[in-house]
Amino acid sequence: MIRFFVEFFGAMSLFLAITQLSSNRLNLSVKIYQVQSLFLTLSIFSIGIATGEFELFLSSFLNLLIKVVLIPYFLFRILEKVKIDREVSMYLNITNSLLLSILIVIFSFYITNKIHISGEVIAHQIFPLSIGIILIGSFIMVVRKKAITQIIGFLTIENGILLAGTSLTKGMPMIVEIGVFFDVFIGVLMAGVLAFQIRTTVDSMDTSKLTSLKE
Amino acid sequence: MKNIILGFLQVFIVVAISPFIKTFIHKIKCILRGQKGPSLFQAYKDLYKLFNKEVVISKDASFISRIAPYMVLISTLWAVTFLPVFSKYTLLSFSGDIIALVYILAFGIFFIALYGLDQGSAFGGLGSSREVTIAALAESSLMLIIFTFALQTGSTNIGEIFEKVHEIGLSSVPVSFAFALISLLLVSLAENARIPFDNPETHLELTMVHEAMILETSGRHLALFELSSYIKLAIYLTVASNLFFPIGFYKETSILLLALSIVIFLIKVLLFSIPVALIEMSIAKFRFFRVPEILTLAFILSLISLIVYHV
Repeated sequence: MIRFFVEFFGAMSLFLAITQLSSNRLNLSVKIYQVQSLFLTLSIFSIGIATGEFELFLSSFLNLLIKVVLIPYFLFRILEKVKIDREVSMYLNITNSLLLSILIVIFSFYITNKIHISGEVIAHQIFPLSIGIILIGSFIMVVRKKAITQIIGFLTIENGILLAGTSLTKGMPMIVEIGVFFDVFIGVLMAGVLAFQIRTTVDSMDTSKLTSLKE
Repeated sequence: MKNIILGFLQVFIVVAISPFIKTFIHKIKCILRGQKGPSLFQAYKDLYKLFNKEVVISKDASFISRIAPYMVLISTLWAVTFLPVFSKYTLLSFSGDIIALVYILAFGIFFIALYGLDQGSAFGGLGSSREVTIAALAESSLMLIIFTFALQTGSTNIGEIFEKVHEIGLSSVPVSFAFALISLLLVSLAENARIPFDNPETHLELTMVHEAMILETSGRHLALFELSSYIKLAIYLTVASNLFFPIGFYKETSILLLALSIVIFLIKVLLFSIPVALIEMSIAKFRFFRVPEILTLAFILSLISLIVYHV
């Protein structure tokens, strides 16, 4: 039964990563990221119930605090300051990127099919799911132009890594985990400031326009 | 004999509760908006009122306009006769499977689209073209969801699929189920003209899809169209609740357990109609050109669910 919940929440995270590709508004992207982190929290919490390790509960709580509350709050603040410029712009249109995402998911299921994971693992399907989330996150970083969406792609990758880590190894040591959370939070703060600076210098958050910068 | 009674009882239940479900969703939306909302039996009153009014048909309309409302209702009822609600003994379970159910519903869409074209008004053709576009895009994902379950249970007979699902329960392939659930949600929102795709409550020319086709309808014909759209929503909710929440005494035939499983079924359907109301509350209607993108998403999710099941 617990395996059902772990895999269900993991699958919802992958679903929201795919939905990220179909969003055409920056607000919507941040909201989708928020819900995805919520499902990730639930998945880690279920693994915590299954293994009974206290550190996993702490990790899920930190996840809730930082990824569902603080980072989206900060990104919404940036979007408020930017005001106009709310449209997502991309190199590949939505339909095509969705069609490519199916190839990514098939690929991640195909490559992990060959890997035999030993040791006691609660949910076997979680590993291909998190590989899929990681690959789709990097795909988001590649196909999207705006700085904020690239931050979101990075955060999606991070979510996938966290899901893989907790589901396969029952969580890293606590000190490492806190370090990672802190790192991600500071990274997003800096990237946000950087995005805002890009906006003030080139008058747009479009990173493809950075090539026109001259001395 | 007993099986025939069970079959008629199932058809009766789906038809009888369908207006109630519609008002139930509306009532939840009203409560969430802070309004009082209509009484829970408003849809029955509306249907009664409409059935007592006379039909006005445009003088340019052909015989299609006369038969289309009846054909749409007949196709919907025909689909219900395939649909196992709380027992696998349906009226036509020997002659068709879940694929037949999907295409009989498509038969109804065909007639309603013809009706829209036949009216000779400016909006009818527009509505028909949009409706057929949405239906064609949604159908592939619906078929893939069905194939997922058909592969899992080794049969395309809808009664057997439901019985197997009730036997094994949900816990076998959760990843596949999660994707199929979301995909079915998107498809049924699209097919039943609910808010992200279409809003039947408005009469704005830019947003009309379903409403544009039946804009000129009045009286009894309108009542028939409304009733068949209610029944269609009830069909989708029944399929979803039986596939994704397999609780109940599906195999039993004793009277007491049957009564209990009917009650469970009603609770399940009301439970599954809550997300529909919540989605309608929280999202605005999409532009029409966004619809293919969202239906692509549904298609991809159903394809993933099929692949994940297979891997």
